[in-house]
Amino acid sequence: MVKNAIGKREFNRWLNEIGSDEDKRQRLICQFYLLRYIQKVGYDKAYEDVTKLISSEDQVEFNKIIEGYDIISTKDSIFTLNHNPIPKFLFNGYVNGKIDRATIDIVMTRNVLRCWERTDETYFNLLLPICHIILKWDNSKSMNQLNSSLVTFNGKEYNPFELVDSDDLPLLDGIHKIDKTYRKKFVLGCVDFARHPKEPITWKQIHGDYKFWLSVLKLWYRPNQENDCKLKTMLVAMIISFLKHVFLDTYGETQGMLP
Amino acid sequence: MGIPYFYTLIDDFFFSKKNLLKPVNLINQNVIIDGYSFFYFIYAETRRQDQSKSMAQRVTATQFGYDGLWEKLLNSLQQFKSRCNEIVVVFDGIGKSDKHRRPDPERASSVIFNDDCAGIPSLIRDEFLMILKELAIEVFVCIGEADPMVVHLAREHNAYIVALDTDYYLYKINRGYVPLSDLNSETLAGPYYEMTDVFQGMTQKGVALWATAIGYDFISLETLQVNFNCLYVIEITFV
Repeated sequence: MVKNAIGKREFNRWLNEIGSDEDKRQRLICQFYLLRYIQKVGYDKAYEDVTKLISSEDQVEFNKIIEGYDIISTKDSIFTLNHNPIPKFLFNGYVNGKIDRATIDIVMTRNVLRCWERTDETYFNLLLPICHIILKWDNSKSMNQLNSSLVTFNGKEYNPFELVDSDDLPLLDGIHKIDKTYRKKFVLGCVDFARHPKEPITWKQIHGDYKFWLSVLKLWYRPNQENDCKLKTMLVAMIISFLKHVFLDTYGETQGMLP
Repeated sequence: MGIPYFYTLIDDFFFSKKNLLKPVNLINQNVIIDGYSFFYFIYAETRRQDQSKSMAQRVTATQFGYDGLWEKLLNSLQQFKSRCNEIVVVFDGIGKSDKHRRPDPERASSVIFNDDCAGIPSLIRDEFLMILKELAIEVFVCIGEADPMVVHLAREHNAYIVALDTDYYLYKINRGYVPLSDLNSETLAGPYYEMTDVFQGMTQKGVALWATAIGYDFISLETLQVNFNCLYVIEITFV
C-alpha cells in the first residue's frame, strides 16, 4: 500500500518550477513515472512490461543486475589474465589497502596505469620490474603462453622480459617474506632502473634510510628551460616538508609538547 | 552507480514534501563507512569553510594542504572509532566500465567541487588510509564498486551505512543509511533513511527493477517515457 503518494500534477508543477534542460527533464520524468508505475501495478506485472522492451540477448544480463541488489556476491580471490588466482598474501594486501590498485590492475589486465592520462614513461619504467615479477609468476602457473609476455601502457605494448634484467629480482611467491634490507634494496633498484643512470649516485655519508627518497627526487627533478624555476621551488618545498615531517611533526603523538 | 538527477528527485522533490525525520545516534552502533564518500565530503566541507578565510589560512589553498586535511580526517574518524561499536571503511576498487551503464551528463556524486585552481590533493586517499591504519580501523578495498560491498557488510553486521551517495536508497538494509551531510560529527546524531522512504510500498526486487531500467541503457529513455507515462501515475491519496 502507498501512503500519501505525491501525484503527477504536483510532480509536473515542480518540474516546471526547477526549469531543467531537456535531458534532465526527460530523466526525471522517467524516474518518477517508472517508480509510480511499479508501485501501482506491482513487481510481477512491471517486470513483465519492462522486460518486453529489452532485447533477448540482454535479458540475462538485465536479470543478473537485478538479482545483484538482493544477493550480493563477494569474491575471495582475484584472477590474473591467465586465470590463475593471485597469491593469498597479495589478495589480502589489496583488500586491506596495503597494495595499490595499480599493481592489481597489472595482475588482472596487464595494463599499467590504465586510468592515467599522462604519457611520461618514467612512471611506467618504475613499475617495469614489478611487471616482470608478476608476468613471470603468472606464466609459470599457466600452460597458455599466448601473448603472455606483454603489458600495455598508453596504448602501446611492451615486453618486460626484454626490458628488465631479472638477475636480482625476487620471485612473487616469496616477495612478502623478504627481509627489510633486501626490500629496501629492491625498491631502490626500481627507482634506479627508472632513472637509467649514466653514473651511479655517490651515497657518501648519506644514511641508508634516505637513499630511496633522494633517488626519487633525483628521478623527478628534471629541469628544463620552461619549468626550471617552478621545479626548483617545488624541490625546496619538498625538502622543507620532509625535514619538517622528520624532525617536527608528531601528528598527535606528543600533543602539547614542544618539539 | 550514480543515477543522474536521482538526488534532485529525492532531495528537492520527495523529501521536501514529507516529514521523514527518523533520528539515530551512532554511538555504540555498528557502522560501515563508504571511504570515497567520506574523504570527498571532508574535503568539500573544508573547501567550503576555507571560503571565509584568508589565503594563508586556507587548508585547501594548494594541492599540498595535507597537514590541515590530516587533522580534519583524524578528528572525524576518531569520533567514530572511540564511540561506535564496529567500524569498517570500504573503498572502490579497480573500476571496470559496464558497457550498459547509461552515460550521464555529469557524475551523480553528491559532492561537487567548484572549478577553481586547487584540485583535490593527489595523495589524499593514501593519507586517509594511513590515518585508518593509525586508528586501527578495518579497511576493505573492493574489487569493483564499493556500494554492493558496503550494503553486504551492513546487512551482515547489522550496521548503519555512513556515506553521501544516493545509491544507498536503492538497497534494503536492516538499519539505515545516514547521509554525511546531515550527520553531526560531534554528537554522531542525524537522520537515517531506508529504501522505503523513497520507494514506498516496494520490495527490493521492485527497486532493483527500477534502478536497472533507469541506470542502464537496456531501454532508451524515450521508450521508457512513452511506455510508462502519466496514465499510471497515482493521482489521489490513498492508504
